[in-house]
Amino acid sequence: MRTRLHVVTGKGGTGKTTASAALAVALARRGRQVVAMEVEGRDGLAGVFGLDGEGVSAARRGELAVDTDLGADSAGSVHITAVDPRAALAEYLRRTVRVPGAASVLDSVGAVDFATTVAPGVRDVIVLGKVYDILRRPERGRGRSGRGARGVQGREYDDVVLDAPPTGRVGRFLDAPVQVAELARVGPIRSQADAVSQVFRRAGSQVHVVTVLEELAVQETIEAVEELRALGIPLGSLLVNQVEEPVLRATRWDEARSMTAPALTRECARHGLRLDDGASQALLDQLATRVALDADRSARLRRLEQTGLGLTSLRRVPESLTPSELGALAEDLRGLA
Amino acid sequence: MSGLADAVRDPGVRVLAVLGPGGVGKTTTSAALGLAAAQAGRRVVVLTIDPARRLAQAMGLGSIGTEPQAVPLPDDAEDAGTLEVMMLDMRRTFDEVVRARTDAETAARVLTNPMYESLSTSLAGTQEFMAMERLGQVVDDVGPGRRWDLVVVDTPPARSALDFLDAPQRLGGFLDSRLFRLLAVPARVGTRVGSRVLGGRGEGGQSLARRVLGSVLGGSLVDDVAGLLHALDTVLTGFAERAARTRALLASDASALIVVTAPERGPAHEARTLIEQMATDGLEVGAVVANRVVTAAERPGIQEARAAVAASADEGRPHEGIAAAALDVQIGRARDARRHAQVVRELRRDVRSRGIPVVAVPAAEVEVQRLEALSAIGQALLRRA
Repeated sequence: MRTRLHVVTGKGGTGKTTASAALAVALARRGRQVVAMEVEGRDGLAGVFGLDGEGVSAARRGELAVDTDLGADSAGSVHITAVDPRAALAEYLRRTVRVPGAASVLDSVGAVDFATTVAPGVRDVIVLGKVYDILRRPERGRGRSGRGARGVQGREYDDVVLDAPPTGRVGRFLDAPVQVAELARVGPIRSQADAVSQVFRRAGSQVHVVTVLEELAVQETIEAVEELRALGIPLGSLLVNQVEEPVLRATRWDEARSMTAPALTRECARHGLRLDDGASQALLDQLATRVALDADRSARLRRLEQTGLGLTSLRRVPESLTPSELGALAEDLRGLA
Repeated sequence: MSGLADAVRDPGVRVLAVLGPGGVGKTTTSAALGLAAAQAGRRVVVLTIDPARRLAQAMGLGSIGTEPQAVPLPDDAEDAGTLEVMMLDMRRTFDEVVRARTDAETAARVLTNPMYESLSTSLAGTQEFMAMERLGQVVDDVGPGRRWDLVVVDTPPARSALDFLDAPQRLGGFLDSRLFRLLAVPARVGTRVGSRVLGGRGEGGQSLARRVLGSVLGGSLVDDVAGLLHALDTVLTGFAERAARTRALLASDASALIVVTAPERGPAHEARTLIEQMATDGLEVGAVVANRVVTAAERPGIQEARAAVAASADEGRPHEGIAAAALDVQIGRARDARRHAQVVRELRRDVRSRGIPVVAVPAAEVEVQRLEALSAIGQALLRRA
């Protein structure tokens, strides 16, 4: 069985990292061995799993098993890891450059800075290379180490969840191997780029886009879908985050807009709440604002549906996530696992 | 500074920089501050990064372009100044700098270099460098007897809001780096420079390093980058100097730095961290804006009434479902209001020792679609903290 890759992107602030963590938990609840990776140096995954200090450092050093509720009889597991592009590149240079002393020459002139800040795409290729290494473990390890073994080449997983750069940069990030292959016509980076560009040809790899039902986020999501399609990158679902149920069904919106203050005053009086008509009118105005918001959101939902991608809703949870709320989000993503 | 009103009216303040985490309403806040300053009689230009079409529409414009466009102000303000708005175009700004600072032949070489496209658009930090560059250009036109009195600058959504303020240092650091020297200096003069660069590693050190770099990245890529950096040497150096000047202006009394945050724990935490980092860098924050704060007191007895509606078997009755919805909306808003008030209180407490006012801006009832709505936000921003 090959390792599957799930890439999660989204406009900044829409809950990309939380959705990545919830997807990892949903997969593990199906008994799968999952690793969630982040690449932006934010240590966000560790935070979602309630870790700080030592946990953050451990996730930077390698793959850290996290303790999370997977249900009583699940044989699955979740690991998290934070890829630091600088460290990954330094490691890559040490491995690739076999001229004695060459690596230290490169260090001394700041080649790591070069690749992480100047040579565009090289950094992304290196980061994707880390993903690729994990994806290939089961194939390389066949016959040498058992499933889940912690040999030289590391633990094997069924699924990799990648908390990717935000929508504004994800196309460039995922397309970096192609870009680098055009710029670097020979050499190890070129070979690395060629190998890494296979990532998306693997069966089951797909990109999910997280959004919220706000205008800018929806617009950016639709643009990202178009961009990724044009790059030939397979898309999964749109994950609609922080979904709040409309306060009224659409069929009753007109009724809400036309209700009068005296009618609301009478209705509240029947249930023991005494209001004057002015107070009732204030409540009706707030209701009208909310109904207008619900109508806007519902229109945005339809625009997202027009992308032809499947939509998965995640419920609204408080921003400081408890383990049970993470579990609830994983439940919302069960259909993807 | 006791609040934003002073910063907006003080003729000594030439720059308002609006910083903060993503998604908190920096662009709208910048536009509202610009409008408030114009209404107070100043000649203002707002430099936005990524304006939404609705903001352009609210300002009576079809879209916001890369050149300053005049925003029609309401007629009633007699002593009003002027308001212009423009948006940052990264690629175009970079192209213009290249053309302005090199001869035609070098410019052509740079603009056609295969690495230029990616350097000018996708390089990490380019947006911050370019925002700083454009601000530097605009600032030259701000002051007594010049085109404008005040520039309001919206900053790019960055991993850290500090990326914008740090951009000059990072570029300067890169230009001073051994690597830049190694790549930007033509290889044939390399031996002498190389031995200096590599700190006495001996003759030919530079060409060795370059060869090794070439063997990893591919010689063609290194040559393209080296060619580009060599041609850009004067451009980048001039660019870094101007960026350093702009950064110094931002740190001076001629600028007010405004941190915008949402009244929720996560963004408020990011704002606090940003303020601390800025203090470490010698940058004083003029004011914190807690944006889109819901204010609603819970009406006594409303919870009981809602429970009574739920208990009555007849929610399908005309009006009953509507009444329930109206009560739900009020209860929800009151809950948001309590949480927001708590976050704002904590934020005030934490920045009080630094003497920074926290201005709470009430949430607009609907999305900002007209100039009046933007003006109302502007007036709320100027209220005393």
